[in-house]
Amino acid sequence: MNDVAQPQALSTDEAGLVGRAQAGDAQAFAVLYDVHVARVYRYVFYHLGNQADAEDVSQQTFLQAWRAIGTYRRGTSPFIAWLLTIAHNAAVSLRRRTKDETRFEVEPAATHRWSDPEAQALSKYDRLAVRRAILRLKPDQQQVVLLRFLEQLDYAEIAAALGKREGNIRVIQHRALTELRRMLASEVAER
Amino acid sequence: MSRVSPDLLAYCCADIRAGHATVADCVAVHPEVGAELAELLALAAALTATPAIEPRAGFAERGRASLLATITGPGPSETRPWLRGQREALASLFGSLAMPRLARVAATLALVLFIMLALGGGAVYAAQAALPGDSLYALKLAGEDLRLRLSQPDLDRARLHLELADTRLSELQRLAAQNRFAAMNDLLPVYQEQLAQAERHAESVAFAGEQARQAELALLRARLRQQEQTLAKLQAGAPADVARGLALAAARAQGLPAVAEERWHVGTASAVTSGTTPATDASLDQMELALAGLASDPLLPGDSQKSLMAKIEAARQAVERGQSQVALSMLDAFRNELEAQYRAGHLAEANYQYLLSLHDQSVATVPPAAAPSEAKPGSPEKAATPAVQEKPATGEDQTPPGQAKLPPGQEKKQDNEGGKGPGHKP
Repeated sequence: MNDVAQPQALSTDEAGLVGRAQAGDAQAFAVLYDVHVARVYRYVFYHLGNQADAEDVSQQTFLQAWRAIGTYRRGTSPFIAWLLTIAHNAAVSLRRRTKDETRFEVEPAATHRWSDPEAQALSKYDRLAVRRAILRLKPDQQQVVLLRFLEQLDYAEIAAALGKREGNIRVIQHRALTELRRMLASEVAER
Repeated sequence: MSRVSPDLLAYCCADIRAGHATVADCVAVHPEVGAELAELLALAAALTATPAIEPRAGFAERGRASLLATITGPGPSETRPWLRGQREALASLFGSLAMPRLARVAATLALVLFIMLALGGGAVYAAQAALPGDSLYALKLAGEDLRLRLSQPDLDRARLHLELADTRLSELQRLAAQNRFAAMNDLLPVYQEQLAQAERHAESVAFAGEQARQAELALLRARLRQQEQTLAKLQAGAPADVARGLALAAARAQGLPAVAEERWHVGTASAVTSGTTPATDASLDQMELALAGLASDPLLPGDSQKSLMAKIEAARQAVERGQSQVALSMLDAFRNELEAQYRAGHLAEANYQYLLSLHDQSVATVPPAAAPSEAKPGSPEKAATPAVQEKPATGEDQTPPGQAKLPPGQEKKQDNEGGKGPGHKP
C-alpha cells in the first residue's frame, strides 16, 4: 500500500551519505537526520529552553541544511559541526527576533530532563545559572563553549566549522571561560 | 588579567577529557597558576557534564517523516507536527510523498470528497466538533491540512495558523469541561506550535500602507488577548502541571503581537505592488474555498452560493485592476448577502461566522485606493467617481461604496426599500 521508496542498502559511512544527499538523495539525508537529530535538538534546547521552539528550530535546521548541502565541503569539518553552526544561527536568530526573553527560560516541565542530580552534586555550579551565563557571552564565545563542552568537538573540528584557526579557538575558549567564571562569581556574590 | 595562557588551558582541558590527567595533575604541574587553573578547569568540567536533554517521544520519527515529505516535494518548507500523521496517511493512500504540490492538494481534496460521499456531508460537519481521541478528529485535521496547503505563505498562512490556534483553544476548553487533563497536556504543545507557525509566517509580511498594517495588528492583538483570557480562565480549575502548561502558552500568546509589530512593515516588496496583493488574493482564495466547502450544505441554495462566489471573483478582478473602492464595494455586497442567507436560516452559525471573519480579513488586505490626482488617466477612480457606477465584472448589482454598515435587521429593511439588496436585479 505504501509505495514510499525504501532506503537502498544505505551505507553507514557518513561521507558516503553526505555525498548521496548532495546528489539529491533525500533518503540518504533522512539517515543523516536520524543520526544527528538528537544532538541538534539538545543543542537548540540548550539555547531556547522550551520544547516547542527547540522542535521548530531543529526541523528548520535540517531543512536549511538540505537546501544548503551543496555548500558543505566534505572532509573539512564533521557534518555535525556544520549542522550545529546552522542550528546556532537559527536559534540566535529566533532569540534576536523575540523581545520576551522569559520565553527562553527553561520551562518547568523540562527541568526533570535538564538536571542530572548526580553530576549536579559533584559540581559547585548550578547548571541553569551556567546556561544563563553562557547565553550572555559574546556569540563567538558562546558557540565555541557549546561546541567544545556540550558537543565535545575538538579544536580542529570547531576551527574548521567556524572557518578559524585552532589558535583562535583556544583563545576564544580561554576568554569565554574567564568571562563565565567572572559572571558566575558575581552571581554567587549577589545572592 | 588571567595568568593562565589559552594554550595551557586548552591542553589541560584536552588531557583531562582524554583521561590522561586530572585537574589535580594539571595544577600540580603548573603550581604558579594553580588556583586560577583549578577554577577554570572545574568550570570546564561542569560544562562538560552534558545535560540529559532528549526530544520527547516520537519527535524524531514525526520530524523525519515531515522532513521527507517537505524535501521530496517542491512546496515551501513546513513543520506541522500535529498534522504529520495525516500527511503520511494521505501520502500513503495516494502513492508517494514526492507528489507535486498541486497533485497532493488534489489528492487531499479527493479524499475529503470521497469521505463526504461515503459518510455524507454531515460527517464533515460533525468532524468540526470532534476532540482529540474521537474517530472524526483525523478528518477534522485533514480539512485543516487542506486549508493550509491551499493557503499562500506569510500573512494568509499566519492568519490561518492563528485561527487553528483558536480551534485548539476551543478544544482545550471542552476537554477541561470533561476533566480530560491528560489530553489537555497533549494538546497544549499543539496550540503553541500553531502560534510558532503563525510567528514564522509573519516573518516577511509587507503591507501596502501603515493603515493596513495597523488594522492587521489590531486584529492580531484582539485575537491573542482573547486567547490569553481564555487560557487564564482555564488555569483556574486545572491541576498544577496543566496550569503551568497553560501559563507558558499564555506567555507565548502574549509575546506574539510584539514579534509581528517588529516584523510587519510597510514595504515596497513585490508583495505590495499594484494589483492583487498576495494577502488579498490569499484571503479571497480562502473565501472561495470555504464557499466551495459548503457545496454539500443542503441549507444553502445553489444559486446563493454561485452569487456569493461571483462577488468574490468580482472583488478579485477589481483589485487586479487597481480599483480598491469597487473591490470593497463587492465585499460589502458579499457581506450583505451572507447576512441575508444567515437570517433566512440558510447558513449555520459557525459557517456564517467563519465566512464573516474571512470577509473581514479580505477587507483589511485590500490596498488603499490611490488619491484621485494620482490615479491613472482613464481610471474609474480618477475623479473619485462613485465606484458603484462601474459595472462589475459579474454584471451583478452591488452595494454603494462607503455605505455605513447597519445592524442586520435594519440593513434588511434598507435592502427591501432601496432595491439594492443582494441578488436584486435592476
